[in-house]
Amino acid sequence: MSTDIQTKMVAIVGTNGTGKTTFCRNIIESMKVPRKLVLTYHMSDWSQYPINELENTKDFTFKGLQWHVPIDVPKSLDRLKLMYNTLIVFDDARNFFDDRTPPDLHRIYISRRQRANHIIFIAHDLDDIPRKAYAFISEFILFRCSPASPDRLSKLMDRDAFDRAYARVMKKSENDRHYCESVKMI
Amino acid sequence: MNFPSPDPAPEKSAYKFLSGDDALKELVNEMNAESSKVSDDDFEPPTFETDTESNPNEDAKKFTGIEKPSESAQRAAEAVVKTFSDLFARALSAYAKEDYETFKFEPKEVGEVAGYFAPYLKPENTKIPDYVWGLIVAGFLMFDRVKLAGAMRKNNLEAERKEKQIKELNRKIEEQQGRIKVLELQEKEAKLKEKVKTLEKE
Repeated sequence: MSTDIQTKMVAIVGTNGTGKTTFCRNIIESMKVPRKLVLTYHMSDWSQYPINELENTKDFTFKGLQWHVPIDVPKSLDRLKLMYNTLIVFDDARNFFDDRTPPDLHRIYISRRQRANHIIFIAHDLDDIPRKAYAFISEFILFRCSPASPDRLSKLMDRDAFDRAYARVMKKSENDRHYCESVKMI
Repeated sequence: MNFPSPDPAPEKSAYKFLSGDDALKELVNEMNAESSKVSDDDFEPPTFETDTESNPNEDAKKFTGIEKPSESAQRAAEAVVKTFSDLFARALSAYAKEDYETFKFEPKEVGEVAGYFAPYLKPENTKIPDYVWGLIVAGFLMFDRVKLAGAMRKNNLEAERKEKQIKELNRKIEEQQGRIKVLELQEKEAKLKEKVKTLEKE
């Protein structure tokens, strides 16, 4: 069986209180992948689920939802490359990625289809998404947020369309804070 | 020659826009549809050194580089342990009455200290098991303690001896002083007697 499937790489972006985490939780609950792994520093948000150390085989074969605290980011990414058939969520990406994309994170993007991994970034602002990820993201879920810097937007396939969607979200969210719109690659 | 159309049709957007609820529904459906094409059986789970449960024999083998100590080695090790235990017990009983601070430690502490230092003191590429090194280090530690205690006891004995000497000297001095006093009194008595004789003659 081919494992080269059309997996998703989704960015859910919005300032505090817009509903991005709730949106992500809805995805997680509805997804039928065997594993869902949340990388997070917001331990209280996920503490009802088992913690995952990415140390043993059982940390890669578990079923259901677990969470991992990337205290040592390079080590966590090195281990994350081995994950398969999993929904990987980077909760509040700005906490563990600076502007330089670590090589292992890049490999995780590239190999996501072969390893059947879906990836979700949750971020407060568009600039919190790692720069190189823009070329791989299949779908943005836009809540009210700050605009992206030009160098990030330049990596988008249709910057004008994206700008129009962003403007719509900003306008409609003035009345409805939880308004969001999906900008999805065709 | 082909020329570009002067009025090209507007390019379609590369994006599709959906509202929140529709986006969630479609996204989940698509992700589930893709994920259903694969199963965990299509992948080989990674394995790690940390997967194996702790096995003392395996740990020992990994640590010492030998399969299992031979019977003679085990007997030798037991003999070494017994010797050190006996030595330690003797040292303790010999010095216990002296109540030195030096001996306010437990054999377990020596073991722990030895266990801690043994791997660092062990020469590289040796096949001598760590527990033997541990015993050797423990031995050195104990001998060191015994040596120190011995030195303390020697000092103590020396101090006792000196104290006795001082006491003896004091006693002698007192005795001498007493003698001198007696002599002085005898001398005074003699003088007085002489004086009495002189007065009687007069």
